Amino acid sequence: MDYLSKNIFEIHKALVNKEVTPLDLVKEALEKIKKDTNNAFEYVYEKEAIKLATELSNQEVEVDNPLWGIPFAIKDNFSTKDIPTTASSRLLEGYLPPFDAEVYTRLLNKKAIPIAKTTLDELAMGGTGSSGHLGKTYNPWDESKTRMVGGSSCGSAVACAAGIVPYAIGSDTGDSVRKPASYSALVGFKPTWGKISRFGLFTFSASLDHVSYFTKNVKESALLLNVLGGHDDKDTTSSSLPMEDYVAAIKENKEPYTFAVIKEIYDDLKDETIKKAFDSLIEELKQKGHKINTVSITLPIAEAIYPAYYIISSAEATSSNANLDGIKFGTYKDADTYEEMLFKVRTEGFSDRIRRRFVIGSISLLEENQEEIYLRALRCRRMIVETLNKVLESNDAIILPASPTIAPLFGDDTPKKSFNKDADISDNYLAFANLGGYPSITLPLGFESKMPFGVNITSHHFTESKLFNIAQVVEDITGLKDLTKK
Amino acid sequence: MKKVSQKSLLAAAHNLMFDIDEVELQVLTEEYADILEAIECMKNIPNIDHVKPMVFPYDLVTDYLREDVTEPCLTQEEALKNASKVEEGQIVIPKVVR
Amino acid sequence: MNYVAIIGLEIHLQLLSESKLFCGAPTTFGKAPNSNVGLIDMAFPGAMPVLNKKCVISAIRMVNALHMELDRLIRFDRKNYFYSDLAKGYQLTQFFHPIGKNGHLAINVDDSIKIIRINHLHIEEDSAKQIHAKDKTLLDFNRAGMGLIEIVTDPDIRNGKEARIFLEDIRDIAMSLGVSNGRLQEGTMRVDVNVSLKVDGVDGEIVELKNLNGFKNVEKAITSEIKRQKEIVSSGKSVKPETRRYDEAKNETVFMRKKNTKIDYRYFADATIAPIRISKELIDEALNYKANKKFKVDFLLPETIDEINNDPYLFKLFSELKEEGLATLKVSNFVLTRVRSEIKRHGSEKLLEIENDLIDLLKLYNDEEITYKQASILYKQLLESKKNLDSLLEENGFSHSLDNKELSAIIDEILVKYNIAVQDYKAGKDKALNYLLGQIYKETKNKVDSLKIKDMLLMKLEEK
Repeated sequence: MDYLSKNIFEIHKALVNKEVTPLDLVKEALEKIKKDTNNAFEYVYEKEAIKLATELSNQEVEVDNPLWGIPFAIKDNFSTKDIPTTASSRLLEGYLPPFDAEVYTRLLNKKAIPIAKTTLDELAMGGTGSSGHLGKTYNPWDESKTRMVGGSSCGSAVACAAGIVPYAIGSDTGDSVRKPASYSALVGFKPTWGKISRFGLFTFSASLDHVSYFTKNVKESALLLNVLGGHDDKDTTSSSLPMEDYVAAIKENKEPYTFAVIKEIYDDLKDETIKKAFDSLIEELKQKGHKINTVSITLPIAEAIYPAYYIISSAEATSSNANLDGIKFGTYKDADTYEEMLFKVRTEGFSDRIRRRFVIGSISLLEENQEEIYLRALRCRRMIVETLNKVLESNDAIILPASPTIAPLFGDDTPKKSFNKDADISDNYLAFANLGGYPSITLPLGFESKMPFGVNITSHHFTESKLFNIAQVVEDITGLKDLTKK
Repeated sequence: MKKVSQKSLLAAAHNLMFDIDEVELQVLTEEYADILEAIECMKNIPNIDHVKPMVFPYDLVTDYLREDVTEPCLTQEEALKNASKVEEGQIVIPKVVR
Repeated sequence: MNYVAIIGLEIHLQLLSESKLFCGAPTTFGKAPNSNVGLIDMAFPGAMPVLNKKCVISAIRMVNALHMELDRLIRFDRKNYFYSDLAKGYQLTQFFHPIGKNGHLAINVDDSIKIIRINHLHIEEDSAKQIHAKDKTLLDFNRAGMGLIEIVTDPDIRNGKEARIFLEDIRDIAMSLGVSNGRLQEGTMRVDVNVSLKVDGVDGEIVELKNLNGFKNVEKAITSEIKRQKEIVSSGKSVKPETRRYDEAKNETVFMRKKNTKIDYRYFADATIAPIRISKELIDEALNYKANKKFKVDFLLPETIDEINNDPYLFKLFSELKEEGLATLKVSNFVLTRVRSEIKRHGSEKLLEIENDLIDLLKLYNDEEITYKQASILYKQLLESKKNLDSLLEENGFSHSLDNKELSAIIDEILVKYNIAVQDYKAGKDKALNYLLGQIYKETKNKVDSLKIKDMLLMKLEEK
């Protein structure tokens, strides 16, 4: 029986009704992992998961804890004690972290069962799911193995989309969960910056990093926030604002909402199928009494989102990853002097793509460039965020297609350039929610040539419960939920 | 607009303690030129040079400070578990000259 | 030729605390190597820093003792460089916003008072300990992440003796406030000295003296370095910018290395630590600390100090003044000339009655809101009339403080009038703030406490 393609609440019900045990679930997951050909896994908890599941199978099911006894996957840039953690970088092969990330601890406390660490673009820097040390991760919806699932949280997207686990944890610094969600018919959610503790998430760009996750419907997404959200003394940037019950907050009778469609991003859309699907969603929203405003953020601001994101994230990344020297952990290389050793470790340990991005980040911080590059990007960030704050003050949410295309084909040169100046606005705008730290959710919107594409909704800081309600409205209209590629 | 110099890009790479080969340097030079172009375009945003740089995504201030009490830290074994070479509790690296 | 030695000091004090600056790992001295290590000390990926309250309190105490402006918002920056003792590849420090700025310390050199200005004071973390063996280097991260404060003086010191006295005073203050034990030999206090020679008004190249392991040696090293530089210049050559150490046996400084071309540390704001607002309560907690039982300041003669400690009234008054940050040379002189004579005349009972008003009065005097003469008149009136300070100020028309509403109106006016400066400030030009403050001071004619003005101005700018 296939239980893991069901949603969390269905699986939980099956556990409560004793149709299935945690051990059955773990075995099913391990079986599916063995058969999976999408290259999504860094480490599989074979023995550990069976041991934990066996223990749980002898215990009473916790009826009010829907995560109890259910396997999950987590991106390999979360620290997991004594479980290999590589961030898909050669440099970190063999690293056994001495501690658990806060989100991982919270899941373990709920008796959720970790089943796998998943692949990512090296150090979470990238959007193709092809730059990690294990190579390309494929889109499960594409049997020809020619299309990406997107990145950087590629492995977690696969684990969830292929029905191996009902939910998977990722991280989102630019769009690393919300974009792959669009390519794989999943719900991808990132909360307000500070809503979920980042303790134990490998720092890439602290001012943009978010813990995020994939689920198959909106209610599951709300459920996970109940478990993962809330202040943590170990991460001082985590918010002390009170938590809500986000599942209970999803109401049956919803008020009419006001949506903003950003003109510059919408106008950039070229794919007719996606445009049509989006237009008809908007039409249905209007018919249901919701209000749609087309707003302009001006072209220069829309165009600046991607470069501002790229510069800020690269600058922070070059510094955040300066701890990778092979001395305390990671792959060490012998040499005669300290400098030589460091050169070997870092030249051989990072892919060329990462090295180039570090150089760009570093050079933008040099005294002679800082004002013109790094600080201008930060000023730009303020302009973008202040503009969006205004939009979100007079609208409940911004709604747009999450990607202007279905999952792209892997090109020969996919990992070559990491900054593409000709990139479409509509293909790179999702980082606006990282620059501003807004809660943002991607949901399935439709299919083109049997490949999925999604819609993204973004709301103001700490309005997660409203965002889930709005997402529920959209999910009810599209009827697209609990989708897995079988 | 700023000029792209391969020499300075290479120097920046070496400062970060790694090397890049000539092919990579060529790609990097193009990428950097693209970045500079994008930076130039940012000037089209009115008033861009007159706003304060934004470090955090929203105004963030806390008054939380950790009380000065010790917590269990790593044991020596845990601390050194991932180090490649250890002698008498210390990590050994090639001689540092400086 | 006319020579003047120009000397500035950079002092690191290791802070006394149970746990490290950014994590709960203990700071116990002498433990087995790498057994006092927290996650952040070895930069394990995903570790996050959480600032130690005690270290902040220590910094606030030093900022207060050195008469510095306190930055009420604590922020950290990353200083980026690769070195084997630096686990993260960057040091968390306060480059853009040091916790303390623009202070001074008065030192007593041969019975005359000299003011040494202090440029800034910031909090940062210590690095790992390295042992360089013959063919390898050994690393111990126990020291990594210990809290430090760095105190940087302006180049106001002119000779080795002044430097030694200044350092001893800093050590005494740090010890008496429970901030650091300040031992040069053990490295809980470390000093770098910048020495240059101004010849006929022209600045010379700076030589940095490092690895100085005793107060006497600092003095001797500077004395011999000045001598060396004079000899070079006299012989028509020029001093090279370099780093030197002190050879005790030879009593001379010895070449260590050339000064590298300036290293670009690519400083930028760290976003792993949320900015921390220093609350009024925290300041109170930091400053209400009863330090040493005996009152001591560095700029008064030992006999005078003894007299203060032996007179209950003076002892109480000076202790309070010290807590208020008013134990300055200026105020001390006023108290010693004007107040001391009144003790005999009125007896200390009467004096105790007006003590609070006296302290307020001394604050006005210290802040240059009233003159010495005005202060004297007011003091006399306080003793002789039954009126309080506020009404006396009003009566004499010396000063009258503006209330919040009046102040608010003035600031609003200035902000409209100097909108360009407001825009500059918003754009990150910090100088604009000083300009605005200057305009407000002018308008308020120093009738309002400058900190209050600054607070209100900052609040209004935030809202803009």
